[in-house]
Amino acid sequence: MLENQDYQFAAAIVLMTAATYFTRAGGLFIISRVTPSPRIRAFLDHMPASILVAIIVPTLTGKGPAELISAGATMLAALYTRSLIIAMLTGIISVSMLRALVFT
Amino acid sequence: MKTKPQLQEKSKVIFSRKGMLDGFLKCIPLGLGVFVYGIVFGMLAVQAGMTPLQAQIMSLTVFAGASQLMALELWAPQLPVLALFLTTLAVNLRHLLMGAAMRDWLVHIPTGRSYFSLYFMTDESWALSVKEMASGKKDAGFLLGSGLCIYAFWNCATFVGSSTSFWMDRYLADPAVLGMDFAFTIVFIALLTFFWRGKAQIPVWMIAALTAWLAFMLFPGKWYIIIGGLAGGMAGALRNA
Repeated sequence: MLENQDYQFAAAIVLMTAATYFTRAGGLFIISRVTPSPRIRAFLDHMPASILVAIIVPTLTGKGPAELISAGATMLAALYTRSLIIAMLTGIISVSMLRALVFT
Repeated sequence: MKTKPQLQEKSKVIFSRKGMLDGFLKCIPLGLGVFVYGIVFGMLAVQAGMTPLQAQIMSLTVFAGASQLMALELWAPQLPVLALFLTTLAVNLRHLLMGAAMRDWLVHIPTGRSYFSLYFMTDESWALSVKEMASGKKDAGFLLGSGLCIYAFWNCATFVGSSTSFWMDRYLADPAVLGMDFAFTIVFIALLTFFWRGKAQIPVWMIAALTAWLAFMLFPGKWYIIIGGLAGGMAGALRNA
């Protein structure tokens, strides 16, 4: 038998799913209905990298030399190899090594 | 309205199983990172009073890491349903921007496929896909494939986390040991590097960084991602148009 709590849970799940899907689908819904001007196009072109910058910045604030050096090493590896896997491994290995051996 | 020259140039976009598979495979390293957080979610969900089944249902339907973890903060015997809805909405508003940024792929494939693919879009699969799109790839199946990869890892991890505390106690008590706490930053830094086209981007990225940092200090939640993304986009639009 369904209890009151089960209805509450169901309502929470339905509303949370609606909220996440609305945000995932809403951007395309809007942008596919307007003809972007050159200015809007430039905005859309610069937004992805800006979002990435925005995601990264707070995760680096207050971090020590091990993290900052690994961040630099990741960028260099990505720039020269163009390979995500090599860049990831460079970053993760360097941060764990630097933490364990140098900046303990 | 629909026959813009810009659109016709880009009408070679396809949606294939090969693209999906490519996206799925390339996303596996990111999936492993998601797996660690999924285990944490599964464990905390049970501690917060959810049954493992409820945690799994949430991961299968809501499928949004940050929102689900924040929901646990609000979880109580009497569920604050409206607060859960509004929090989820606020936490995920950044996906509006991300979905819009996938325009060059998604307006060229059948609408149903676009909106189905978007159901599975996460920060990780989006970042990988937008990099793929920016590098000139034309297979929109990549977005769905990479999203399904994260979906699979997130749900397996929820199951593992909610059904046992064994692994967390033994190996994941301190993710810093493996450098896993920094893994997501590393991934996003690598993906950002692929967007590097030259020094002209420096002011745009600086503005994005500065506003994101200010917003991070001033506002709770994930508003900083939206604010930084909008500020960088606007800075780029002012410079280029």
